[in-house]
Amino acid sequence: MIRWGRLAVLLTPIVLIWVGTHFFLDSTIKNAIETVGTKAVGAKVDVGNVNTSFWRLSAKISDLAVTDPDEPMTNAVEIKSLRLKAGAKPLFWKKVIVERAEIVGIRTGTPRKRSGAIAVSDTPKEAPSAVEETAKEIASSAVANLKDAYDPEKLVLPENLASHQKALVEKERLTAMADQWKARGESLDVKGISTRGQAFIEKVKNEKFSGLEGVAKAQALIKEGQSLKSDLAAAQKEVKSLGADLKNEMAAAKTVLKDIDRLRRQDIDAALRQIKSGFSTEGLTKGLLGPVWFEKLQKALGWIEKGRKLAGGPSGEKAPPPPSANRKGRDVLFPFHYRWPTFHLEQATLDGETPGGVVYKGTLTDVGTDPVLVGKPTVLDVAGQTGARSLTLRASLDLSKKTAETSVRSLYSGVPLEGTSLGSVNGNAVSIAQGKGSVSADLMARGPDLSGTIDLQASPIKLTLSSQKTDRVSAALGNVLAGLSEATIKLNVSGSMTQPRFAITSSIDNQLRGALKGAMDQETAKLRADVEKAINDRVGEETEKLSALVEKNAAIALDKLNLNDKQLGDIQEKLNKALDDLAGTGTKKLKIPDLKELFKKK
Amino acid sequence: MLALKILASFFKALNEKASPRAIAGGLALGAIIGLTPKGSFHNAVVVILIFLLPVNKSASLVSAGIFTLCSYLGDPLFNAIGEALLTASALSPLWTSLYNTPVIPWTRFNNTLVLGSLLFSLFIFYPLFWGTVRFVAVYRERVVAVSSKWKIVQVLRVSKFYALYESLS
Repeated sequence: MIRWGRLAVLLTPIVLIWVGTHFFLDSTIKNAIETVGTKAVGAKVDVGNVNTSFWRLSAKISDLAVTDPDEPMTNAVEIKSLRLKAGAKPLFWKKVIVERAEIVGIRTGTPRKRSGAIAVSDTPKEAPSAVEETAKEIASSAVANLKDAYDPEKLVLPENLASHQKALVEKERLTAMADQWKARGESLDVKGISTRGQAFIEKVKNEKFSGLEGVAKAQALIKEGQSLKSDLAAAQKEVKSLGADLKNEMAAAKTVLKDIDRLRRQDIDAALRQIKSGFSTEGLTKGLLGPVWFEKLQKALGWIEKGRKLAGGPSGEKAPPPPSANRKGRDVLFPFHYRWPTFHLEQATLDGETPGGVVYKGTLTDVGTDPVLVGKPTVLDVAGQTGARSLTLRASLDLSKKTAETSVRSLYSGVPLEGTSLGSVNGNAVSIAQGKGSVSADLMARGPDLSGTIDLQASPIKLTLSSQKTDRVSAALGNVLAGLSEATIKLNVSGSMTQPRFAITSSIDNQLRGALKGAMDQETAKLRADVEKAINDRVGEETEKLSALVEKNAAIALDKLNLNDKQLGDIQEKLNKALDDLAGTGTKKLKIPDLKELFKKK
Repeated sequence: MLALKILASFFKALNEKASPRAIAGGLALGAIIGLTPKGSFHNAVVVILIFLLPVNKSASLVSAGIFTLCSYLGDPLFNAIGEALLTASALSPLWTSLYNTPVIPWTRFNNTLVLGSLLFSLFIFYPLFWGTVRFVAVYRERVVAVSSKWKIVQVLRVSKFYALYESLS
C-alpha cells in the first residue's frame, strides 16, 4: 500500500539537511559567535573551534578570546574551553536550557598576538554621558600640573568673567550715551535769544518818550519786552530740563560702572575660591588617586550595566497576540508546567587565573534571558588562593524583582602592587615601587541607586615620584611620598549608575597636609595675586576707559548747560531792570496811569 | 497553466484513468488540507500521506482548493466546535497534559479554529471517501458511458481542444 520508493525520495532532503548541518553547523556557529560577539563588544572576538553533538545535545567552544575594546592588544577575557550540555525536552518548546556547563581556563588581561581593533563606523558620536562628564571633571582635578590647571590666564578667560562680559555689553551703550550728552549740550541755541535780549535793552536805553506818542511807544516796547521775557523763561526751562535729564543719565551710567566694579570683585573671589578648593592637599589627593580609582569604578559599572542589558530585565512572558479575523481562531492557553526562559544556564563550574596569578575556582548560576521566569538571581561565586595571595568574589545580579539589585563583594589580598600607577601630581607621576596590599569592595546597585565602599590597604609599600620639577611643592611632595610606608585609601561610592559620585579619604591626606602646608600656602598666595592682577588688567582697563569717557563727556555737557543757564539768567535780569525802568521813569514824566500796575494785570 | 493542468489531470482521472478509491482518498485528504488553517503541523503529515499513499494527487489538489473556499463559510462553525471542546472543563486535564507533552503543541491543537476544523474534516472524511467512490462509479457508468456516444462528444474528441486536454492531462 505504501509506496516505499517515494518514502526514500521524501527522506533524501532530510538526509541532505542532516549531512549539511553535520559538516557545516560547527563552522557556522563559530562564525556566528565571532560576528555577533565582535559587534556586541566593539572589538574582535575569536573562537578557536566549535564542536557540537546533535545526539548528546552538547557543544564545546575552545579558545575563546574577547578583545578589550580599550586596549586592542589585550584580551579582556580568554577562555580555554567552554562545554555546554543542553536539556532535550525544552528544545521542543524552542527553549535552550543549559543544564551543565564547564568553563575552564578563564584569564583576563592577557596579551594578544594581533590587534583586536575593528574599523570604527561613521556613526555619529553620542553626547557624553554623565559618567563621562564626571570622569572628565575628575581628570581635570588630576592636576597633571597644578600651575597649568590653575594658570591665571586660563582662570580669567574673558568668557568666564561676568564683569568682562558686562563691560563689553555696556561699553557700546555708554559710549553712545556719552557722545549724545555732548551733542545735546551743544544743540541748545541760547545765542539768538541772548542777542535779541541785548538789542532790546539797548533800544530801551536809547529811546526818548514824549507825549502821547511816547506813551504808545512805551506800551509797544513793554509788550515786546514781555514777549522776550517769556521766550527767555522758556529757554531757561529747557536748559534746566535738559540738565536734569543729563544728571539722571549720568547717575545711571555711574551705577553701571559701579556694577561692573562689583562684578569684578566677585570674579576675583570666584577664581580665588577655585584655587582654594583645588590647590590644597585634598585637591592633590583627589588629583593623585581620583582618575585611577574612577577608571576602575567606571569599568566595574560598565560590566554591571552590560550584565543587566544582557539579562534583559524583568520582562515576564509576552502577552499572546490578539486573535485576527483572518482564519486565526483563538489560542486557548493551558497551565504550562515548566518555567523556562528562552535561554537558561542553570549552573556552570569555572576555573581560571587572575592577572596577579591567583588560581581560582567557582560557579556561575542562573544566567537567563528572562530573570522573572528563572526567579533566582544570577550569582558568580569564586574563590582561590596561591601562596600568600587570595581572592574571594561573590557577585549577584537579581533582575527577577521589580527593582533590579546588583551586589559585588570581593576581597583580594596579598596583591602585588609593584608598578601600580597612582596618578600624577604637580606634573610628577606617582607609582608604587614595591609593596603588597589588599582590596576589598562592597558595592550595591538597587535600581539606579548606587552605594558602597572600596578599600585599599597597602602595607608595606614604597612610593616613587618621577620628579621632573624642582619647585617647593614637588620637593615637599617627594619627601612625603618617600617617607610613606603604608597607605589606606577608602572610596565611598554613591549617586546613580548614570551619575556616580565618589569621595576619597586616605591616610595620605594628613601626611600631605602637614608636609605641604608651607609650600602650598606660598604657592596659593602667589597664585591669588596673579589671578587678581590678571582680572584687574582685563576688566579694570575697560572700566577705566569707560569711566573716563563718561566723566569727560558729562563735564563738557554740564559746563555748557551751566554757561547757557548763567547767560540766560543775566539777560533776564537786565531785561527785568530795563522793563522796570521803562515802566517807572519813562511814564512818570508823562503823568499817565501807573503802567506797572497795568503790566501786572496783563 | 498549472491550474489548468491540474484540472485536466483531475478530469482525466475522474473519467477513465484512476480507480474510484484513489480519487476518493485524494479528495478526502485534500479536504483536510483545505478545511484546516494552512500553517498547521498536521497538514505536513497529510501531505506526506498523499505523497506516500496510492491516492490521486490531482484530486487532492482540486479538493484542497475547493474546500479552502468552503472553509471561510465553515469558520464560525469550526471556531464554535473548537471553543466548546477546548473550554469544556471535563476535557481540561487532557488538553493540559497534551499542552505539556513534547511535539503535540506544534499541532496548535489549542487553537479553536485548528481543532474545530480538523475534527470536522476527520468527521466528514469517511462519508466523503465512500460518497466519492460511489459518485465516481455512478458518474462513469451513467455520464461518461452515455455521453461518449453523443455526436457532439465525438466531434469534440477530434478537435484541437481535446488534443490540448490530452496533452495537459
